[in-house]
Amino acid sequence: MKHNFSYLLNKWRQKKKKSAAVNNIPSDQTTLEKKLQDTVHSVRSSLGESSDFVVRNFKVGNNQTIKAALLYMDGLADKSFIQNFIMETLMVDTELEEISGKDISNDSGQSTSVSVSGKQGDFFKQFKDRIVANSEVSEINSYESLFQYLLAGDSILLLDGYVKGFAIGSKGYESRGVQEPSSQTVVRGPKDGFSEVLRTNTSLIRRRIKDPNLWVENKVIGKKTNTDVAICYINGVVNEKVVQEVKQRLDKVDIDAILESGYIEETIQDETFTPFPTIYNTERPDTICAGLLEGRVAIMVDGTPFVLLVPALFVHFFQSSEDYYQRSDVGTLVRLLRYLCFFLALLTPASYIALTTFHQEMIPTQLLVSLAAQREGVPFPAYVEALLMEITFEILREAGTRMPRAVGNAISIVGALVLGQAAVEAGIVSSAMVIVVSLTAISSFVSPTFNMAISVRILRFGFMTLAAMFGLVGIILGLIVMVLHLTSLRSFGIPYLAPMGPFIPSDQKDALVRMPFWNLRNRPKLINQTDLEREDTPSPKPPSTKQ
Amino acid sequence: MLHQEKISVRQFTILVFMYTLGTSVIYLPSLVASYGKENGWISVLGSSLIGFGVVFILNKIAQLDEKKHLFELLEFIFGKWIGRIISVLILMFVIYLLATNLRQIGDFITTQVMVQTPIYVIMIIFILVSLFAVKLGLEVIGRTSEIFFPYALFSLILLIVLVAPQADFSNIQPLFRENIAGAFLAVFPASEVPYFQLFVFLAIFPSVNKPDKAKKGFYIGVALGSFILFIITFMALMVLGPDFTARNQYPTYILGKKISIAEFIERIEILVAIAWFFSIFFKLTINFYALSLGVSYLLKLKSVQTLTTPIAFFVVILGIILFPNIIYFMDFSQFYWPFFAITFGLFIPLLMLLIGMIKKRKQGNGSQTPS
Amino acid sequence: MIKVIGVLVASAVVYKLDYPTVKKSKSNRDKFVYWIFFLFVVGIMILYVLEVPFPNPTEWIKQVYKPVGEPYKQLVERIVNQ
Repeated sequence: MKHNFSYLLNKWRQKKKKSAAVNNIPSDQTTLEKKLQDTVHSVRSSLGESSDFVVRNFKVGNNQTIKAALLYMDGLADKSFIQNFIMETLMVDTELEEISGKDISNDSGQSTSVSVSGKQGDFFKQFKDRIVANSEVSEINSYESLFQYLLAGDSILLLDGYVKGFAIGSKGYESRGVQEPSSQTVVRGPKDGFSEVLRTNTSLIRRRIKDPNLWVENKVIGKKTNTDVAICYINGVVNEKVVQEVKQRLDKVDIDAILESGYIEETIQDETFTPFPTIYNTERPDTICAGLLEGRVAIMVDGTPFVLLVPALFVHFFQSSEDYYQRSDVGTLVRLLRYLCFFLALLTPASYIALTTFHQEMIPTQLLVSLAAQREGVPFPAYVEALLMEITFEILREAGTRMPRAVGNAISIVGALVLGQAAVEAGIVSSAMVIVVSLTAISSFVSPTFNMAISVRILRFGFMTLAAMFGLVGIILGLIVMVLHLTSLRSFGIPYLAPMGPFIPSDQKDALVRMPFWNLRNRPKLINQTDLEREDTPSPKPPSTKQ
Repeated sequence: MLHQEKISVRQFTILVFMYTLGTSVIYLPSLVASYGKENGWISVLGSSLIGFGVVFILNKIAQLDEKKHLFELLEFIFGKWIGRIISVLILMFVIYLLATNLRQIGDFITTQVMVQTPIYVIMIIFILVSLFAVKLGLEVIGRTSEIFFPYALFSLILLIVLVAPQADFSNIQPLFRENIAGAFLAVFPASEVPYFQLFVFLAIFPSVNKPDKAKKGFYIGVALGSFILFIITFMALMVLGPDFTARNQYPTYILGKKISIAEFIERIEILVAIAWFFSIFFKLTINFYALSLGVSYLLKLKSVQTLTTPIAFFVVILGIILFPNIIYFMDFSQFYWPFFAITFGLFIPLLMLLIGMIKKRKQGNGSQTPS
Repeated sequence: MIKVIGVLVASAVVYKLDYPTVKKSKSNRDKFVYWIFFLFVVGIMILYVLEVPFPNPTEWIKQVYKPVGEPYKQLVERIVNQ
């Protein structure tokens, strides 16, 4: 009697809650209805009669005694899987003689007796253990968990007369599949890239690192989007403090939507007021694996191929995974070239302005004469000229990124011919300035990471202004301020300019240069701090030819 | 409380090196050449010996209590009130030094590099950069010094290598025959910049993470800096000749003008000036930091950075009003400044060491007797 | 007058940018001392742009070191210009 009473009380409470709620939407914590059709109805009304919500009513057992319903979202769930492995097993193969009639009290939906509710668990267990022949099955008993599974693509199996149901894993939706990444292309190296599906992405990593210590932890972030976010690291290699820090910062995120990993990046980065990225992102699984093996933490977000990697230091933005696939001397030279290009992209227009305006004596005489001749007809000071060309180029680049593919030729014609050649011939800009702007542009494309290239683009204009005001002195002071700012940055507690500032001798092997693998004995000291030993390959020594 | 930040021994060494080069790398050859003519380089050697002596004294003082910075040490050694008075005097010296250095860079740029720019604009932008650094804290200053150290060192070495072909040994002959007295006399003014200013490092000494190794770093920094100073002076004398070196206010900069690579790249003296900007930036910043630390300590403030902005603008004004013109500055810096500097750079540290040792011995005895 | 207004506007901008960093220390003493120093420096800057003559601290130092400075000067001039 006691049970009965409490049950009624509960029911009454629920009803009261329900009537209070607008549109009869059950609040999240409410348990499912006893009566199958009530549950289905309230789910349907919660979803606002959405057209992609599918309900299949049927009866189970050889006597067709048990009314059941299968709920799934069309497009999120794999239809053929549902057909072959859920419906068929339940409706065709299952002989429910041993349980039907014994444990299931009736099919009228009015089971109120204490004895049945006591046996419910047993029946459910049997049903789960013996009848639902799927690998991913979990019990649900509230609307909250029902929607969680349903909207993730799982199928919900409800049985009449029970306030519980099953969520059967049937996720299967259209995805792009594993394709070659469009950013960070390499000549040599794996061509697969991350896709929008989180599970695919984790599998791409796990296929490369077959180690039980590769841990993947999930979190759900986003009040409306309920996006899966996975934190991935190699236990024992990773710096525990960084993992804790990542988890703490992710817990603090309280946002309604996560549509791309950029949302996460912006909400968990150390310093917000900086042009420099302190979190690395990539589409390349091999880059992420290399990062994990260095002891860094990857953050994967469902719905985007861009995976985040922390801590990200300044040097990481100048490393391409191809550096490690080429021989080390090639890798080193290419890397040094990138640093050179960083400074070229940052300082070429500024230096041009400074030299032509303040320090003409530094320009060799013949060059100065030809420069002066070119600039004779140009009506603007060098700064305005440079600003004009740089802004024009930025517009061209943005147009090139956003425009439909079909009009690509038009843009290049307009850019190259009209704006380049014609502007020079019309005497609006000097041809030397066109060379400067082109060199800057090409150099900024060398950067293997797009977000470092963006920060260079922003800072370039600052340096141009400084050069116009104070010449080389301004540029140097600007550089000092930039380096001061860079050294003050931290990425998840690690100084951003490490291993140069603070200078760490042992980490120099894989920073500005890349030493051969047999020399890269240790993982980066500052990031890792625990399991330093990476390998112990001896230096290759060819057998001497003398016999 | 005021010095929680930690810098490494390497960073400390580089800061000492930068500070040693500081303003002197561009002035010193002229100074010693005007005293000792062709034997001017002897004064540089002599002054670096004095420099080592100063470092020895400073290390000994630091050893009295490695956890205390300069102003705490002063209070500890001289007692509360005398200590504070000396602290105030030292702070006045440091702010004077800061203003003078700022004025020097302003004078240099407005006479040599950018003639049309008003001096206060140059002074303001330099002090603003320094202010930014001090606001970010000592750790950031230390790390930044590591980034710029290779460039500063490399460009000076490059300067030496590139002008070496033009060196004329006859310029420094006859050796040890004439002007010896002048050369020895020049040791005194040559050691005031930078060696008699090194005591400000006592303010950041407790921030170094390994105090025992920091002492060695102190020596290494001064040694490296002195070596560069010596070579630069030597080269200036050999390439430009003693008379020309003495008559020019910025002989190192003129030395840069002599560089000629394949008769195409010429007049790249600005690259030398850039190396100097780095070293003087660190000198400004360390002085500024020590000053802010002292002021904050004496006024019992929570943070070193609190008063940095007002101080920065005050220093600009001070730098402008201190010296009405360059003649006045030359006269003062030659005949009065050395005494001003030696008071704080040598006498007060010696006094600190002496009284500190006595006090420590007494304390040692005092603690021994009861046991 | 325009110069004074210029100094005041510049000081206001600097104050606006700088004060939050002082505020962070959460110490009333720091804030108080900061205000005093700030007003002092603004005052000096206004006096400077109004071209009020300042006493030169260099002269004071010269006075203090005159007893050693003058003989040294003569010594140097005798030796160097021999």
